[in-house]
Amino acid sequence: MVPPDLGQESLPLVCFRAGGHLLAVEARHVVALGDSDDPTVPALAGRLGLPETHEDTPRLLAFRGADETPHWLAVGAPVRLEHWALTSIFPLPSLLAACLRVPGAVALALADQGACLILEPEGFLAPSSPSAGPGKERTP
Amino acid sequence: MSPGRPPSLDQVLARRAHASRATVVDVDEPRTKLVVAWLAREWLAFPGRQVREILPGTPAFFLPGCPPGLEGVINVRGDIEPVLCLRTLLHLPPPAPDEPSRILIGKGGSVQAGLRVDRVEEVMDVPDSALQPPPPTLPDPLRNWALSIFPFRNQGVLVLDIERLLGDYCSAHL
Repeated sequence: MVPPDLGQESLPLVCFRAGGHLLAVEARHVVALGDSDDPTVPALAGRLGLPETHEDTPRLLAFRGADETPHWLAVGAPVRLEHWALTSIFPLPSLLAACLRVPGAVALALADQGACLILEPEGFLAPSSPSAGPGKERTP
Repeated sequence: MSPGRPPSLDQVLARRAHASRATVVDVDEPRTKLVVAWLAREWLAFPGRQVREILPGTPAFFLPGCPPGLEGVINVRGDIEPVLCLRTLLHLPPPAPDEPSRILIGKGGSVQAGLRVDRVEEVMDVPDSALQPPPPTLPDPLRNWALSIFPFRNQGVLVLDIERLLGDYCSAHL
């Protein structure tokens, strides 16, 4: 059942694709969006254990790490800031939480057209030094 | 009783009483509710206490990173339930495209999930005396999951423990 206190509120999510799947992170975890074909920037799909599809228009996202520094990773387009109704956002059921092989998966959003995994960046950001960003960048 | 001579009323009543005693059903015998499902040309049963709901076989929303057998999730009146393909878990051939199915929402321990079967045949109360220990020669993974076996339409049907099934699945994919 939908908890009544969810009301009409919404959660801002930055949605993108990785490994051919729709994924999202909370907007507060994204600090910048960039365009680059720099092959040295690692792909998020690889971090998640998903197949690295060759996107036609790869985009770069800077995720806020635990140390507040940006970690750049390549994702698939389109990258969109969307406001999802709280009633469409669910915690992972215990079986999924135990078995799902996607680092950082903490919740999912469900719409008529499909499901979208919501990730926590700390789950997929390597504890190593922050990656260099692209030449041009802008915040989403 | 000599041939040709009709029985006395006492004899008739005595026979009646004997016959009715023979057909008395012990209604106090404990019974277990079972959900009998059809899966890849055989019946399987599940304890009714472990089946919370029987749903139409709606397609699951696929999620990345699902291990084999985990189809994805479905929305059940505002709640999310993961769906496991029982055919995959039992190493049975996949269903034909567009083959109808049902989803049993099963609960075992702290884990709840949908189990996709081909169809639900019957929900029935079975006398506990009809539930026999499963044969020791069952192959894996049935050996771990079978609680008992009972006769149904001239066949032996295995009763599977959803709690063990879900527990094994989670343990195998941690």
